[in-house]
Amino acid sequence: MAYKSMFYIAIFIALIVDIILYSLFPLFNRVTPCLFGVPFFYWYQTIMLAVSSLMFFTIAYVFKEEE
Amino acid sequence: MVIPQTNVDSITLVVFLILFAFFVFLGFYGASWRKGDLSKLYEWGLAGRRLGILLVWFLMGADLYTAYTFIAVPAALFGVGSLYFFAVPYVAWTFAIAMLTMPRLWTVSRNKGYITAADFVKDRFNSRYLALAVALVGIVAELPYIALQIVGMKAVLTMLIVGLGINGSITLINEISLVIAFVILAAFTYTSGLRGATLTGVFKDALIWFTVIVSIIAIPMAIGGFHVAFSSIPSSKASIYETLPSKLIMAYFSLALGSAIALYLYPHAINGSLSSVSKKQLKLSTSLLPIYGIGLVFLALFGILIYGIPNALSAIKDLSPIIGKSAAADLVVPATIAYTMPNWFIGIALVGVFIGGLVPAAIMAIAISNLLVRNIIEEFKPLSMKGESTLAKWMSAVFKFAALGFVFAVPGYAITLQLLGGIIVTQTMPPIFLGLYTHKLEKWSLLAGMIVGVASGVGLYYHYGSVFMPTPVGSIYIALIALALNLIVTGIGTTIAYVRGWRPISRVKDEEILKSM
Repeated sequence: MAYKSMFYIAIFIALIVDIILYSLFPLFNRVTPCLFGVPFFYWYQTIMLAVSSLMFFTIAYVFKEEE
Repeated sequence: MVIPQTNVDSITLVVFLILFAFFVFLGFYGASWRKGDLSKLYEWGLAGRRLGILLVWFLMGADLYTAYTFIAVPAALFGVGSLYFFAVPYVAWTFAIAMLTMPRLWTVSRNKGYITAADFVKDRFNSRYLALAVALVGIVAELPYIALQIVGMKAVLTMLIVGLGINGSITLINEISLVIAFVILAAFTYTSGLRGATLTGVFKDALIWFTVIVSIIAIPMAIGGFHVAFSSIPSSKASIYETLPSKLIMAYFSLALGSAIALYLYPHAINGSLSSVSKKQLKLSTSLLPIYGIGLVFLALFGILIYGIPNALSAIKDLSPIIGKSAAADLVVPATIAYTMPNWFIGIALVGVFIGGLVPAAIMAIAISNLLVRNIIEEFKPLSMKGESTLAKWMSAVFKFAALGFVFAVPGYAITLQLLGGIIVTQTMPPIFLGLYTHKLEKWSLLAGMIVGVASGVGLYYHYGSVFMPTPVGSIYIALIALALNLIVTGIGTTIAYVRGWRPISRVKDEEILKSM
């Protein structure tokens, strides 16, 4: 059986989760609550950048030694 | 006509020139930094593959965050509205896609000595024609992206010259700015190669982060907060800025997804990933790149912030009829800064944005000249190491002229240049990305798929005069439509071949993509 890599499976799942997080338009496509006068639409997606990076970094870190 | 007085003055110019001189010094110093023999294409183009985690992070940031981020996205957000905030999900997704593909490509390239994606495709599918097509499509797609960088550099120079109050025809100033930007780019790339670009990339990122962080705090404070900007938007237009109009959801989603697939197919992005010193570093550096996207958010918001700065807004409105609506919109970030921040700070910011176009353009030009020499010319005529390198350097100059052609040929907002490149480059997804996961695709079908993809993509772009195709579910980014056609042709072709007795063979084993041998 060919060699399997958990890293790629984990990243694939993370990508799907990330696409879902950015597809919840009814949830985030709105003005309120504002943060520093910026509508929710903008800052929700900005926070999700940090969430994405955290998610990807965790996976990369956990599987960093994997060949 | 009188453009409102900016805070640009001789101090701004002096700061700009000193920092730019330092940048040029770094570019030359970079050529001798961590000494390698630049006469080898390998050294000039891949920095000898000795770059560490932080440098790879910077290098990737340097070539992925470009005039697209500093000029094109803010201009489009200003001109069209929240639709162009799609760049944010794009940035998040593209790095996940990079992590799915680049470590594999890195590993197989190490194992087999590849330096471009076309090298891999050639072996994987046993087809030099497919490799030629992948290289050619990569090169053509990169040209409008380089053009976008030149447009960004031009915008900075126009703001600087207009701000200094130099009398003369604005149209002439605009054209002179373009020529200066182009000459500097050509000279810089020719002399330093990727090493120079790395070191200057670090300098550029430091300037950009400083500019972005200071301005995103200082400017809203100066105008009384973001809500002032939002409430200054004429009420007829408020709905396109406050949220995403629901009829644009499909356009938003497809722009983000298409762009996310496209980015790591560009030769320069692949080149950057292959420069990594180890797979571990590549994974870790890439996973942190969405953080860079936060800078992109702040810059994009300049497109709205400018509504709170009446002088900046009227400067753009005054310039619109003279240099064109889109070229005026390109001034969003430079103008927002020039009308609110102190003179010395404007100098720093303008240098940051200027080299923010220059460094990526150099990296892109290097990447596609490597590709041309290695995967197209040498397919027909082998060259010596020295001949390879000399030719690549000269070709990088030629490509910049070709890119300049796109500046004139593609009308509309600057971001259209990058989106057009995206439509084209996405068509190399089946042989490169799918090729990293399977070899069970037939070479002629892949080639036919790419031809159909590129032809339909470019055809639809010209037909609709836009990067969108209207559909019953809303407008869709043409890159995805063309990719779907491409995949259908590849799939059907492979099935027919299989039925007729074709069986997949590959000179690359799956283990060679996963493990260092």
